[in-house]
Amino acid sequence: MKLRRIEVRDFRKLSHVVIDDLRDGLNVVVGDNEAGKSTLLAALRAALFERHRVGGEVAALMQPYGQTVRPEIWLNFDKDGASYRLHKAFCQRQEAELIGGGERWTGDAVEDKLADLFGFTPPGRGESKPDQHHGIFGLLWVEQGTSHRALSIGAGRNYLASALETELGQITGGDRGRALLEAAEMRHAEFWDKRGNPRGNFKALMVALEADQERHAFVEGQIRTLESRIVQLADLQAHLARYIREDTLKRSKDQVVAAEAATAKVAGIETEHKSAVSALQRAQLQRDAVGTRADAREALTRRLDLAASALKEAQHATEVAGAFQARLDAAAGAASEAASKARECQRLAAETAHQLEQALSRRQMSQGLLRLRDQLTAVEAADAAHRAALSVVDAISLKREDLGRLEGLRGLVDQSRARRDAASVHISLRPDGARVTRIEGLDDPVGEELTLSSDTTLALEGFGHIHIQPGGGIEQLVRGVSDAESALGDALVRLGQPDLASVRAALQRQADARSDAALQEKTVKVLAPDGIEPLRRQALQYEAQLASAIDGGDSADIEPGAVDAARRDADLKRSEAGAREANAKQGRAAADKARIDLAVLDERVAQATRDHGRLRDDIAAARLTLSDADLAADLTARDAELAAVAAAEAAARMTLAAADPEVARLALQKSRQAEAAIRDDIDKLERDRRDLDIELRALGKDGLGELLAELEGRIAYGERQLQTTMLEAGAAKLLFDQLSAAQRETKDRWLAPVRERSAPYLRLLQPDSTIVLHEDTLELHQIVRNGVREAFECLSIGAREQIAVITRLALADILRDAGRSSCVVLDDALVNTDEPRLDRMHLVLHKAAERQQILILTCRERDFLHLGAPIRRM
Amino acid sequence: MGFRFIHTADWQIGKPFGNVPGDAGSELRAQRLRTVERIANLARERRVDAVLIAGDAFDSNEVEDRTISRTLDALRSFEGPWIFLPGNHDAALVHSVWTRLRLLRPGENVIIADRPEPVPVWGGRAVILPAPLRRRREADDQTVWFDAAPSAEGTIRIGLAHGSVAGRLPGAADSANSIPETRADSARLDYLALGDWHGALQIAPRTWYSGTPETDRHRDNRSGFIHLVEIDGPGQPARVETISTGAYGWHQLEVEVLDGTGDPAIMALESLSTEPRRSVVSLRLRGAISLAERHNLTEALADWRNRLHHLEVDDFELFEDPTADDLDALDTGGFVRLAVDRLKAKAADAADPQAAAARVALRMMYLDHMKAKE
Repeated sequence: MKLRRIEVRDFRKLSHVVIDDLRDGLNVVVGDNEAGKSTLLAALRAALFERHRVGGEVAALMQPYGQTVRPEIWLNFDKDGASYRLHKAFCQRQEAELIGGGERWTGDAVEDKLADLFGFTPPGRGESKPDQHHGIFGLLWVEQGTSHRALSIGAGRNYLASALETELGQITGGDRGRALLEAAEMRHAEFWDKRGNPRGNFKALMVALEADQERHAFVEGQIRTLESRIVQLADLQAHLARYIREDTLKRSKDQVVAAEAATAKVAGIETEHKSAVSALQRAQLQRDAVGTRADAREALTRRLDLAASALKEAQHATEVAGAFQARLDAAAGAASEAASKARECQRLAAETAHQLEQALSRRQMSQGLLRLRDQLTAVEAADAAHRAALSVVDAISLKREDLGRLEGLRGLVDQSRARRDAASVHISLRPDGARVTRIEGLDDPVGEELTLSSDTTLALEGFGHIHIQPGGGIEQLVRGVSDAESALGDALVRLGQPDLASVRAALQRQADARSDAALQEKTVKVLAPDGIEPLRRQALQYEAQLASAIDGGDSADIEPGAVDAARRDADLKRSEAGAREANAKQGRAAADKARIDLAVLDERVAQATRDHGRLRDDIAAARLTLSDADLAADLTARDAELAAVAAAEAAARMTLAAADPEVARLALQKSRQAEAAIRDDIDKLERDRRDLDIELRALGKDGLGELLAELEGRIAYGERQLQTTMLEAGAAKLLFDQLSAAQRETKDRWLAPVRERSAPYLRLLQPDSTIVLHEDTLELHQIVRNGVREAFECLSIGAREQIAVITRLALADILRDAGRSSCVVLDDALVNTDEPRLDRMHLVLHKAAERQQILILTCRERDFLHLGAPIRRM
Repeated sequence: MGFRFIHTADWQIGKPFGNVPGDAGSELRAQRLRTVERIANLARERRVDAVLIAGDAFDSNEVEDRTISRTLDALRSFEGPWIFLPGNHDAALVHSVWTRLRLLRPGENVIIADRPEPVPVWGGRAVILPAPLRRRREADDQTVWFDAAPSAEGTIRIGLAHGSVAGRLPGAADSANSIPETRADSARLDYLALGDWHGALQIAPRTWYSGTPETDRHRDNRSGFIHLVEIDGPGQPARVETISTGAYGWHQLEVEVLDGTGDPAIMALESLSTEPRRSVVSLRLRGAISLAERHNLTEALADWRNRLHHLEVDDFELFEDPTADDLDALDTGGFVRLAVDRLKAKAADAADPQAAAARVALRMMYLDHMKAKE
């Protein structure tokens, strides 16, 4: 396809633009920023891809801002040798017309024809999207600011793929190949997980087989145990059988019986010996008894002798002690007498001293009493005066405030009287002669000066009557006077006072009495600080003491020194008496001790007498029973008997030693133990046999043999299955790997044209570079520079836009060769490219333009002035 | 009328058939008991004087108690003597299936011949001389005592033993549990009833294997029978009737594919001697086959698997050999063709460890292709 002419009217910001005479090869359209070159590309897209009846926002966006007009586009292009003219009008009176190749289409048929011509899928409704609806143009028409991005192949992929396939023939395998690969992948996934480990049924088989093998080993172990138990059981039974066969137990029992008989015989000899021993013991005991008796008799005789001499000794000691005691008693009596005499002397001296003391005390007491009485009289007088003054104070109930209040009331009376008098009528009577004037109704004549405060009729002698009526509210003032007077009167009555002066006098009296009371109180305090009552009590006490004192004569003559002398004499006498008394006490004590000693000696004599008597009686009684001679004879006989019995015992002991009881005992013990051991062994064997039987029965019940056989079968089956499955799993893997590898290799060949076509362009820009597209997405994947692979995304923006433009040019070449030639539109696609590279890219564009039409939209006229292509300005 | 008895052996009750998965295996296991019931019924119907079991009535000494109990139940319809000889599978150890069976208190007609002692039957006119195995492998011939065993004049002497008759049986002979072929002569036996070999077979004069009454493995040895024997008197020849008792036919088929098609395999299956639902088949395939034929065969075998009681296929030696048509059907070009060519090369190269996998991979691809076509 080659564009020839573009006319746009009322499309967005373009009011009317015509770009014509578009040539094969390079064409440059220059428009300043905002001149609308990008809008031109949008108009191109709208003309080809938007349905003319499109509405809504898509249509609204075609309108110039704020206007409602009819955007129109005319497009002339050549395709497959035919010329076409396309006209579309949007929004209002929508219209579409395509004329070319001798035919004409209008309306929706235009869009269908365009889709057919260019091999794209128009949008069902709404806006078209470059990567979905613009077919190959989505790839080859690059909008401003997107050139450095990846190719956005999108829906162009199929066209591209089919173009590549066309070039390489049937190598790809087509849909059938893809389906087989998918199936192989599914098979592979059936057996293997992502990490290449078995999964699903394959894994389950392995796990189950392993479990069976483990179980088999376990059951085998159990069976081995079972078998070893059976062997044990057989051994046990063999042992038991031998015991039974050889009658071992019975033989052992016979040996026990024989040993028992031998032991019984030895036991008889032992019994005989034992009785000989006991006879010997008995004889010994009897002889010992008689011997003891003889010894006792001898001892008794000896003790009697001793008691007699002890008695004699005690009697002598008693006599000596009695004499000594009598002498001590006499000495004690003399000492006592001397002591009582000294005590009498002491008493007399003490008495004398006491009497002197008493007299002295009495004198001092009567002197004190006199003083006390004087003091008491003064105090009592002061106290009486104090109380009298207090009673005066208490008798007057008036208070200082009462006086104040009365004086206030008095003031009020005076005030009201003054007011009344001021308002009253003052009449001065100057009668001629001694004429009298009377107030009517009253007998007494009035004085010269008369003050009237009420209606008064005066009888003027010699004149007649004159009625005087004071005015100006005098009645009220009169009433005020009488009110004040009665208030004062009432107050006085309440206080019980005739007048104000008596009140003042009473208050003065009260004040005087109060000061007198204070004075008297102080006097009392000075004379009797502890009160009057203690003084009185002391006086009474002195009086009583004096009264009770024994009259010791006149005490007035006593010298104080006489008393001291008497006291010293009394002390001397007391110590003398003490010494005498101690002496007497010692004498008494010595006499007492001698008496006790004597009593002890007396008791000893009595005891010795008793002992001697008892022993004498004992020995007499003993001799009465058995005389000393008989006793001696008995002892001799017992000695002889003992000797005989001892000889018999010695004989029996020798017999026993000859019989050797130890041998018999050991033999019996051995035979019994042997029998018990055999019996125990048999019991144990029986028990073990029973236990084994039970154990075997329990083991056998589970059907281990069946289980083992079943497991063997299952393992054999499982192994066979696993073998098959492993083969299948391996085959699935192999199949998938082979198909994938084959496809990869094929694809590599498939992508080779891109490499080849881009190579001449790349050589102009940077030698030794290769472009690698992704084998599945056909997207720009890597660039190999000097053998080093670099991801497209990691390149600089400038490098990316250059590579992307070159790749597009290469793809356009491939498409052209596949019969799908198309115009390449680049809208400011190289803005990030530096000048040296831009020069190189101009060469690239020139080279590409040799084979296809390229439309460059740019705002940088300067950059393309030297491109050598016709420049059109908008 | 002479002494009449059933000679049977190798019941192998309790054999689990673990290698036959699912219901088919359970069914085979249960059938063994049903076959014993059938023998009991036959014994009653044919009014025999005794049933002799020449060893291996049980598959193992360690069968479940329940299995023993159900076996006793199966004997019930014949009330005459059942004389069981312990064999190598159920040897009379001190603790064995027999000691356990005794604990279950079987009827008095159940005789366990676990001692080398004569067992009188038929009212004393016949005597059974048993040679029980008391361990799994007896190094010495247990039938030696037969020769000197006394018996009253005019008594029929029947030997009962379990083992292999030295030098007479096909396959490798076991040195253990060996029985001399001359024992019937030397011991003046009228009949020597043997067990261990699972096929019915007369192996020496008056010396017989009855085989197992219900086949239990793939071996072409005429199994699935019992012997009904009648002997008129001492020194008289035995009349032996072989009666089929087996419910399942076991078939081992080996098919070689020569013409590149699976037809011979299908034909072999179609010509089985027993009806399919009573057939347990092991099919071994060999040869080369095209992918298309392989596909058809796989589907046909899937069908047969449903018809037969059990089908086990061993096709490790059946090689896929893709024909030009196969490959064209897959793809004539593109990467698929590349992969097919490589797989084919691998499959054809016997030295390649992945040769087998490559064959299966081709088969898989073909199958995927057929599926996609459908």
